[in-house]
Amino acid sequence: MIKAGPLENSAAATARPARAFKLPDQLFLHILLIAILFVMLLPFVWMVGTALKPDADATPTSLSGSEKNIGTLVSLFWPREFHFENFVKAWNGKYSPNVPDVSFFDAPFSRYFFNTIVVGVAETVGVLFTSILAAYAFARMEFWGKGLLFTFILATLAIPHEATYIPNLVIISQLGSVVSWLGTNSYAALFLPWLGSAFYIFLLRQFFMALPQELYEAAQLDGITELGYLGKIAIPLSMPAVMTVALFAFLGNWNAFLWPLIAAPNIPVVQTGLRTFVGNADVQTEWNLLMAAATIVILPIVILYFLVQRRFIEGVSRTGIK
Amino acid sequence: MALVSKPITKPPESVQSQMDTSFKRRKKLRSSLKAYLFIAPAMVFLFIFNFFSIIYAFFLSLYERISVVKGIIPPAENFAGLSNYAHLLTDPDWWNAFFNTIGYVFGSVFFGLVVSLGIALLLDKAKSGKEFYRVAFFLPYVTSLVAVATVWYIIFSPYASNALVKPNPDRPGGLVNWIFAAVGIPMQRWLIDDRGLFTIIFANGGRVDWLSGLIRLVLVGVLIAGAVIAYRRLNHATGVWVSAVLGAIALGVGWTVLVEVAHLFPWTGWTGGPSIAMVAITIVAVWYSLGFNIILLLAGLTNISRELYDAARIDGARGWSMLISMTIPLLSPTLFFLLIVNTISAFQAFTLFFAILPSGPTRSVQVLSTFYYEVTFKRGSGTDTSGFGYSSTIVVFMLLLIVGVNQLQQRVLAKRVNYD
Repeated sequence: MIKAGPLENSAAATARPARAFKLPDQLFLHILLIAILFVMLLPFVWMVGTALKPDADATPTSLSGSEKNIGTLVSLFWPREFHFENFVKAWNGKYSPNVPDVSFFDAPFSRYFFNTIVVGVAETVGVLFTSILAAYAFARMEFWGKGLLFTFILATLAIPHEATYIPNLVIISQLGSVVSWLGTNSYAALFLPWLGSAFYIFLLRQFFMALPQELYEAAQLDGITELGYLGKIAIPLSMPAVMTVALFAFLGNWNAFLWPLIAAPNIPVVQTGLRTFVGNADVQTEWNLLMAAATIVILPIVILYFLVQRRFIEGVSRTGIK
Repeated sequence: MALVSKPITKPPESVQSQMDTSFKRRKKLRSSLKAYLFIAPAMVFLFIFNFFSIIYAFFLSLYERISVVKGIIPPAENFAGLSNYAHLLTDPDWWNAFFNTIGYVFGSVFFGLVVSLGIALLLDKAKSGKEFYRVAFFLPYVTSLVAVATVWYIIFSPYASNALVKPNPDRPGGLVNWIFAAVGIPMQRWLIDDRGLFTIIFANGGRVDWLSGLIRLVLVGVLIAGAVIAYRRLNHATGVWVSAVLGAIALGVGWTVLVEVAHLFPWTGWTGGPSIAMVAITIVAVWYSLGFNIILLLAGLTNISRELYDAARIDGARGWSMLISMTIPLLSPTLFFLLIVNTISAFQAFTLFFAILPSGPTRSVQVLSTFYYEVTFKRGSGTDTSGFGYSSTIVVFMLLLIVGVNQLQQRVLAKRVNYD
């Protein structure tokens, strides 16, 4: 091989990543990425694997007994026997796993899903209604105190949710003493506090402001009202933003935990329902049922995610919703 | 705030007639009324459940012994002035939660950003399959935190059986202990262990081995002397590096001695480092937020143009120096945004701690939000620190803390952020 001078050497070095070693480099990169991905998704594999295990393997009570070895790696993840009925047991709830004649719709998890979906739909529709109207006003209309009010809205962005829980609990219970179906332990209590969202207003306003002014003027010449313009032109053109808001409002409700726990303990939603599977120090936790319940809770969101993953990811990368 | 639109100014008019302006004013009034109708629903909810409730939290923090709500204004005999605040500042439990929170925020945000930056840089290099990786890495983030926390609770479980049985070396429960047992590392009690990480690694079972301790102290002295000599004698850049490395080793060795003797001095508990339970929870927090961070970092990385990389490469920049002097500065707006968002959400982290610790947090993993929850709902209402009053005080402090840290980050870092 001819020994290259320093100049050629550096030129070769710059050319190298582009050509000669391209394939092995990429191959190595993908192996590395797959390995990282595998570690990241391991909890999900473990979750589903444990959910399918027989009781004896998932909650090894045979401590003093037969099995004095740590098993193989495969046995950790791959169930010895597949027990799909664990999902049915989990659906029937922590306290009635072995009751065979619980009908599907009477089962605790049916109630959790029902409650969550009712609240989620109400919250999503409500927050879309308030946010779209307010965002449109801030984007298109002129009024006194606009700047001041918008500053106020942005300022509420800085308030952490936790800080509002106790005062909101008091407010809700006071509302309940006036109108009973608005108080604690009502469906309304679960979504009322989240109907005004500074972030969604801000997000939608950005979209409405990006619509061309000429469109608005042309529509006005045709004698269209503000509401007509909003409903027939602005919303259809801002559908990506509207869908993102709807998606994240519903997802936020699905994953809500602390507020349902304190505001409406009598209306169990999926997340608080899942908690009933976790035993305290004196109650045994059945791992396979717990994991089956966790799978049930996660599954709808995962399906939704794979259906509209582009919207999820774009929503996050464009807006930074957390 | 740059985002706020300017108040509407009248167009410069000088020769407009009186009638015209009054017509305009009437028109403005009409459109104002209409606009108020548009914003009213959102404003009502924002006002009641955000603005008013914050003011109300301040108000409640002036009262004590209120846990049952009878009316918006608590009874006058429970008015306590600022005594809740005085109590807070002398409450060892609160200070414990405070320092735990600071540690957790620092650990989870720092490692979260470093790991996700590493993965994002790798992903950015991939020529194919990027979409697949993005979708897969983001998966944990869309799943519910309660569900994945229970999964991790089992992964870290020390129990082979139900919770009353001690950890059993013959039959590890959780995945992590299984791996530890397979590799030969002693299994740990993870989420229920308050002992510090360094204590577990270095502390020699709580015994002080005086001879080896002495030897290690001598070693520390030699290392520090070596560092000083290297700094003096070698040329500048190399000297700094060598003395930094020697100093770091000296610190590590010295620390092992410190941890060993720590139990002799009650005020040196912090030398044990973060508790192993906190380490486990931080790992979960980092894992959970990776998807979010990676998506945003990838978006930032794809915005850096390829020509800039090529130019830097021609200038002789390679791997590490390219990363430090080009990629990270160009990525700094994204990193800064992630820093702020992650810090705020780490301060508020409640669900993770609550769901992963079914029997309640032990002392080393008690953070402000779980402390707040315990004060509000668990401690009863008999003692003078219970109830909504004291917990509102905690929340007011949390709010001030979050806003303060946020402001500090804005002040200190915003100048260094590159907004090209």
